[in-house]
Amino acid sequence: MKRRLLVITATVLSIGCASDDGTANSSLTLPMVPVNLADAIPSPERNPLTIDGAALGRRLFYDPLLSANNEVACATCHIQEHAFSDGDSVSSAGVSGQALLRNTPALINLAWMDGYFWDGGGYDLESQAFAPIEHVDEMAQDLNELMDELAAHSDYLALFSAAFEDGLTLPNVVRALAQFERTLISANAPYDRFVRGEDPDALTSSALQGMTVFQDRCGGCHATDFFTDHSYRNNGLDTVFPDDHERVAWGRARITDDLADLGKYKVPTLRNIVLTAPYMHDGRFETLEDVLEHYRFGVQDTETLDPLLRSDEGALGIPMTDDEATLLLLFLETLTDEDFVTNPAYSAP
Amino acid sequence: MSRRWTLVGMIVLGGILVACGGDGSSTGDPDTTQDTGTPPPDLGPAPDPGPVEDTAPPPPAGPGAVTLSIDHVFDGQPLALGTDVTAPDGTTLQINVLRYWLSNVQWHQADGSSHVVPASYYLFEQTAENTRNSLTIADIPAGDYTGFTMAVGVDKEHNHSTDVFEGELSTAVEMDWGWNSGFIFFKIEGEFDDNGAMTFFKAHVGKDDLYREVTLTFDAPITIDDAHQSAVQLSAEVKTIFNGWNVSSAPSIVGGPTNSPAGNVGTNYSQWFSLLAATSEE
Repeated sequence: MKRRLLVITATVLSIGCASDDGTANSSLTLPMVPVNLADAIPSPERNPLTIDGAALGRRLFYDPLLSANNEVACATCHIQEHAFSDGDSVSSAGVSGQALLRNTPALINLAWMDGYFWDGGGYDLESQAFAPIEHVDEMAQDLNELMDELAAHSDYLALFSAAFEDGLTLPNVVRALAQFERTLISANAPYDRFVRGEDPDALTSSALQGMTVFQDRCGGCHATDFFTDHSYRNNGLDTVFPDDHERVAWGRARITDDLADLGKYKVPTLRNIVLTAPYMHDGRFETLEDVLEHYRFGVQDTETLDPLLRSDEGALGIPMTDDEATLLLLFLETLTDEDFVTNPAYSAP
Repeated sequence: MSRRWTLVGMIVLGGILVACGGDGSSTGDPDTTQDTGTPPPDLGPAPDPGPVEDTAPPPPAGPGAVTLSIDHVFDGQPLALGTDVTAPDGTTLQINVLRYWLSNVQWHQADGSSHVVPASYYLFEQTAENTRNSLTIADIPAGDYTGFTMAVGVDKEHNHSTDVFEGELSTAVEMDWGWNSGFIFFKIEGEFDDNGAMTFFKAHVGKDDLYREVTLTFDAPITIDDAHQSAVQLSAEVKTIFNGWNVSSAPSIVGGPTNSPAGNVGTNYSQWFSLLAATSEE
């Protein structure tokens, strides 16, 4: 079967983002993020995005065969209606039943991320995929057994041959998954239809006011139409970072071995945020109201606290009035992309 | 990144370097002492020597192979898993798992050139399930080799994408990390005597900083080509791994970097090899 190779080009989304001095850029011009597979999604040279590869990846994503007990799939914890998170603070849906230590991240616009997991320890989607498949508290699978199980399915043999010249191999398992994950693109929320000029009524006047608050108070980190600048920052959640569990509480510092990165975690996208509660790397905040409480009143100071959360006068956090907080929440609702969470192309095959 | 030589170029170079008279060396001159009082007989005119012989050089020797073997020892004795040994600080230990990646092997010739072995990523190990402590590397251009370089670990170009299975690199051998994409360069596990209770310890060491190149030079060059059997034998002294490591205060070492208990292990595995022999026989 002929594979259609796609051009690999990065899509650049230019947007107005809030600068530190609080001024909002009012000129928003956006090339549309393509929702189909025929355009500009960044992929590594060794794993170009193809329709057959992505289709196989979807099949694997929803297949509990990938787990040791054949009961846990990627989709068990990455649930489409939650924008591919799971609604839990931390999951215990894995093979062992043990609770994990970090919140299940949503899978949104992954192709543009710089590092995977909350601390960026997964350097690319291909390498990242091995981790949950093997982790004793996630899918607990032995990779050699996985290959035997896949090889015993003649339909998988055919699907791998269609998608990859070298057919069924262990690298191609994670490459197919990575291709599918790169297709999980969300950019059709009311916000998007408004800024693209497709629907001037998509945002109410309250939401528009909320957008101004957002750009002013949140846009320094949750920048661009990705609603993240893809950086790692300490947002004042903790003051101590214990060594337990092989330093999982060090955050980004566990990856970079740089103490200047203690307590830093990835700035997550805010797209579909109302669907991806609870919040933060350990799911400690149940609601967005709790999140705003933290930013307004709960930020804790440490050496690595992000400078954007400490004013020149030393005040911590993000000031806003109660009204502004209400408007902000109304704006965040406009980032919910119904198409993304119902798109059959992303659902179980 | 090392230079790459084409195999043809190396064969030509190897041909030039093949020692003449390597096999069946001529004996010394015959005894020419004579009775000096007698003039030599008149032998008449010199005979016609006939047509000049074809004096083209013999065809260059073809590429060869070398077997690299590593004896794992503890304090000079063959490493026996699950057996009491004594660490440098006096702690009683047992070693149960020893595994490490060797990579980026280069064989050095007398003229300063090197043959880089392509896709050279090898897993050496000694565990209850498997022992693998030798390998044969083929397609080495014919020549006289003075030493070699190899690394413990995986170079950074290959250490960030664990779906790239170059050489023996693979994620199916439990020598990689999921939480931070990359290979575990060196893995040692066992038990130590913690006031009478045997307690698990481990060091799983990696990350780019702890990639360590080692160069070993032979006492005399060895010939590697298709007319020779060549072998290099090393020892790896496991006791060295425990230099500066008090296992009971650091029973679980994971990761890097340089200035850490993991880094100390990295320093130690850059020093644990000794050359035992480098031989070449026809």
